[in-house]
Amino acid sequence: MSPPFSKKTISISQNHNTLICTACSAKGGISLENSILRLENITKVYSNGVVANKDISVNFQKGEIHSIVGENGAGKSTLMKILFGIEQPSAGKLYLRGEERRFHNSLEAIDAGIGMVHQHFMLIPSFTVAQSIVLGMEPRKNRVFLNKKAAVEQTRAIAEQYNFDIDVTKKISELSVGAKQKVEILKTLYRNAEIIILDEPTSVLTPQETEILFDELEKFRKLGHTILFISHKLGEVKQISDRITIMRNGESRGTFNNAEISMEELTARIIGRELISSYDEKKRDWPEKTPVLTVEGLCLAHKGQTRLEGISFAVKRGEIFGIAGVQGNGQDELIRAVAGLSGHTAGAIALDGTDISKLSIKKRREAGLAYVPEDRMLDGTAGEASLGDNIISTYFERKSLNGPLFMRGRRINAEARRLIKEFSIKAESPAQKIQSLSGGNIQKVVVAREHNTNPKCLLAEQPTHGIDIGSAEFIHLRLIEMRNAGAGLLLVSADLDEVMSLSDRLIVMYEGRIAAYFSGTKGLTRSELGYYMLGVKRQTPEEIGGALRD
Amino acid sequence: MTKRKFTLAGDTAFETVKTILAIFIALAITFCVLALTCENPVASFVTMLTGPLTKLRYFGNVLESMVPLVFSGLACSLLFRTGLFNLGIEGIYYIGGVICSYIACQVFGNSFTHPLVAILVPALIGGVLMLIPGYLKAKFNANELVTSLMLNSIYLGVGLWFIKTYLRATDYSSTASPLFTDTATLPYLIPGTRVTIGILLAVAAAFLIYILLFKTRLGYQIRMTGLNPSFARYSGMNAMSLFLLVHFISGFLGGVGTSVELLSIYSRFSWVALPGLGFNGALMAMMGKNNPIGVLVVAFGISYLQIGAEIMSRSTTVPVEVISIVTATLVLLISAQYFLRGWREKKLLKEGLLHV
Repeated sequence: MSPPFSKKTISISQNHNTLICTACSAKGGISLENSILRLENITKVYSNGVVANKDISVNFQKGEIHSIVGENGAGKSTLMKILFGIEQPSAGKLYLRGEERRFHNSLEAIDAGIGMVHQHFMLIPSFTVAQSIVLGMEPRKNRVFLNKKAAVEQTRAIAEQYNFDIDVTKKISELSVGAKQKVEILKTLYRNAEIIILDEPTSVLTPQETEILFDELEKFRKLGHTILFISHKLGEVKQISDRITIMRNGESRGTFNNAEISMEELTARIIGRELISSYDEKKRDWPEKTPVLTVEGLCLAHKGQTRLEGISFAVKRGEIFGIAGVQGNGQDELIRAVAGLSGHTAGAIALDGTDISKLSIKKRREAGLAYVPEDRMLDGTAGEASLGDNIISTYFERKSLNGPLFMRGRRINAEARRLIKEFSIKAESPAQKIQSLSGGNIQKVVVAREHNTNPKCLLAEQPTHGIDIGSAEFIHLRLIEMRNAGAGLLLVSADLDEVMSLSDRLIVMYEGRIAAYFSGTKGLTRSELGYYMLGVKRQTPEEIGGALRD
Repeated sequence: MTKRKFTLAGDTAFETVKTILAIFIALAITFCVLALTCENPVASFVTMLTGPLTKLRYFGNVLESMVPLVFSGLACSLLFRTGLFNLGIEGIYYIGGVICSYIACQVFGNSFTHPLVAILVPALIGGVLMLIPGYLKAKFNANELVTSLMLNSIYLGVGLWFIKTYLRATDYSSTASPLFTDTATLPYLIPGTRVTIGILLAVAAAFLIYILLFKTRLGYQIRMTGLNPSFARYSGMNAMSLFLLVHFISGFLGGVGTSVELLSIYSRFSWVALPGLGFNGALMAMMGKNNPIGVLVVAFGISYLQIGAEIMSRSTTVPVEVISIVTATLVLLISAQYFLRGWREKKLLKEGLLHV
């Protein structure tokens, strides 16, 4: 077990309102003429009884970058959905340019000059950039026929106006993630959006792409657009925002001028305490660092396309082996092949020296493999099922939970209660439907379940993707604990901070191949990794071979 | 962990409120129709609602007509729970009935072994026949709705051919089997009615399936696979064997259901078209939210209304079909996800169940 460590906590005063600048109070008269969008006492209750927003009042100014920060489940996304007309508020008012409005759907919001760039892009791969941008309001010839030429000209003009470097005749499928995001932003501009909502825009970007995005956002601000920036990454929020609204438990915890709030205070207000700055001191060495999972020459071809090529590495006992890379470069295929959810064309996968590549998922699990999947709602849980049912799914046949004929409900409940307590899952009872929990708590259920099988090797795929900072830290500590106890962990993450702070060794994947291998993370920089992630640099096969050899 | 305090907007309570309100609305609509079309709407309405309770024989009618619905409802709910939309129970009811009748027409054993064999054999064959769409689904991912509907027609054709060729009564004007042997019919439970021990079998089956679903490992796998097949697969469950097993149990229930129905109420097999009992099972499953006990309750309720409507049609000018209005409204309101949602949200807001 790990020794106790000191956690610096900052107490949060109840009267945090004293810190709110006068300009952002809805009733403060000074800035009202500069206000473009004002929310007054917005409350939203979902049909499953979850109160996602409670009494939220914010005033968004013209020409500002306004960040909304908070843990997952804090209600940021719901608030944005209300602004964009996807959800209807249960109570409260929304004023646009001083006029009370209510958007029944997103089309009305778009007409009113609000644009939204979703975290997951809404683009059609076979369309060109120009087609994608004009989709839904295409220029026409004689009112009936598409005017393709005008579409190209108009989109080119708008790209030039905002200094976007993009070829509008290219197909979406040929674009990088960063370029796709540009298309999404251009789409909102083409629809004359004055207010642009960006939902976690940097989560899919490399450090270099993020810098470019920020330059563009600065430009929009100068042109008088209002940017609503939703993010988990506080460093970026501090870098770019004019003002910051903090949300917690569905309520607003105040709006602050960026200059008036320190990073530490921001964190403390979001999660109620400070984060651990480094995980290094939590790590303990495991005596026998023998390989537990060996992947050799793994290849996968799908519909004539090479998805994985010659992937070789070994995960040792008592280490976290990281895989960094932009999403969609073969990490998913690799993990699914190891877990047994999909096949592979060639290569060997061995767990503890025995070949598992032909075994069923169940047999692989019995051999000591556990898996935290990327999508907790699709693979990781059954949303309609109870927490208790979800937390035993990978070991429901265990003797202690079963009698000769029947499952032992009481024991299952006791086990679920124990895990709820041990993983501090915020839930009312094991009978609660799992989908009524927040994302972070659902993820904790998944981790608790996989942890409970006491695996030799854990595949952790984006283990903290899209969850709150507090839960993410908790999960990280649990992973390190498993590592310290001698398990081998294979960690896939698009979040560079996560891979770099947790991994003992790591590889970078690019286009289905290993682009780089690092035997440690000391002295490794984000931009160095970024070059390998973007395919700008690639190590020699000799260097990459270390992933298996070391 | 705190226990959530009781509220009408809670999950189970909300479903109950919703169902009761749906029944009221359905009856109100029926009353309006009666008021517009018949001479004495109040009396007709009261007859429809209380008729089955006025005579033991009428109440017996309710019980006897719910038996086949319970079995087909259970068979369907098991399939639906697994995420399989299979309507093949209809065909099993037909072909199972043919097999049951064949056995029932033979001279065999005594009054215990004869019905036992006449029920078990069609049940086993029904189970095996259901494996066909199950196998096609598990192996080739063939849409079970399409294959099961096609098989229904095939079973009807094969069954008719069998009856006409091997089992046709020579002393009877239309296509039908000879009279069943006396030993084959099920013993009566309530004197003066046609209620046989079939009703006991139906109730027992509902409780068995309930236990299977909620207390056993197989039931756990069925529920998880039905709720999220990707999750079940990820967890290491084997969908292929599960699909086959569920199909078998479902076909088995279908075989029992049709046999019990024939051996309780009929004296010879005379179905020349699909009986519709299997399709009604899908309705029971849906309205009972795929819960075995729910199926039992719904089958009773629907049978009750049906018999009530029949009694009413005998004493008034109202046709028995009026009951379809009630059923249709109920199906609509119970299956409608958004029904009462706004009310629930407001109530939750007011009660301040503020757990984010």
